[in-house]
Amino acid sequence: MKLKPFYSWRTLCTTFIILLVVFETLVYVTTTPGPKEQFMQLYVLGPTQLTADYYPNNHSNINLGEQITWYLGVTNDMGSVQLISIRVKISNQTIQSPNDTSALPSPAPAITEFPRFLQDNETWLTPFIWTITNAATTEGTTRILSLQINNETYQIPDSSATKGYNFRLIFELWTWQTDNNSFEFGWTTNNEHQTAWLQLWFNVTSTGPPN
Amino acid sequence: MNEPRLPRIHKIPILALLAIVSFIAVQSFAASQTIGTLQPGFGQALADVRSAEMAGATPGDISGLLSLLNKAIELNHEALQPTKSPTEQSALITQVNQLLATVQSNATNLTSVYREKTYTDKIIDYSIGAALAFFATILYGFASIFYQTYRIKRTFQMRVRRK
Repeated sequence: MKLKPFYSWRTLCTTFIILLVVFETLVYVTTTPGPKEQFMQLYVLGPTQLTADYYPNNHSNINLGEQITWYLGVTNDMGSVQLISIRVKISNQTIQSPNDTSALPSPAPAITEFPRFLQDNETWLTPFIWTITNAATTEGTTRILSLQINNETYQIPDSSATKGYNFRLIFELWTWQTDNNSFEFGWTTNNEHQTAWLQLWFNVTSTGPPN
Repeated sequence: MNEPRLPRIHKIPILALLAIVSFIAVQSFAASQTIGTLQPGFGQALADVRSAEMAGATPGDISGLLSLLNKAIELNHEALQPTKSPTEQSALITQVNQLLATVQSNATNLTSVYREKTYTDKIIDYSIGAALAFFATILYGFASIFYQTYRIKRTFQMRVRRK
């Protein structure tokens, strides 16, 4: 009786092709990074770098010359280097807020901006120390005339509120778009436009120096 | 008679155009007073750094480039200060442009180096995969021979007993 060989060249070739496909698939899976959720974060922290004690004495009534310390934070989880800019705007109750649906920024006047290059997975925290250096009240309307931010004084073109109530600082996150070669409010990920912005309300009920 | 009237007709769009241009000029001036403008080279530098990143440059390499770029942003901001004299502003802008040129040059070098390295690494990885498949096939072949031999032995060891 002659036994038929259990293996043959054909079997070996088939086995090799199957194993080749299996091993190369394993190599591809282990060396190719999987899809990652792309997003950015914007936040404002108080003087202790916590989400607390934003205003002195825990009261949002601010006096002229009173120094307020906050920290602005941005986290880049976009999977690539980003050029970002935090735009600071001063507004009141009537000026529109940024629109998330239409991705439109607030029409309030911009005071300054903080541009920065951020690496992937990087968090950037920068101090934001501000003081109202000049304000005036006429006929029940308070106008902020100048603001000092991080030792630089900015003249405010048009910012007023009835009796000094409900002023707000708006922080908008803008990103550099290499296609347009300009900053754009928010960012685009998976063909979807996202925005990030914050606002902090305050009152300027006294235009005199702090007691 | 009609000739003197013609300029009047044309004045309206010209005046409207002038009004629009002056409005845009005022708007852009107001914007540049509040928001500092970045040098155009920043966008190109970002694109170059991203290319290096995509080619496989390490976070350490990218971090080095970004620290130069952030330094350039600080100098750019300093140059925009109204207290600076035109000479100082010019000197600062020159520094900014030098930094941007350095970043672009380094990023281009990193891109070519890492692109080549990534390509070589990929070839090595897939070659290892092929080699493993080859050795696994040989192992399978030997295992088959061993199994067959063992099965033959077992076949001849079998005894048939009449009940």
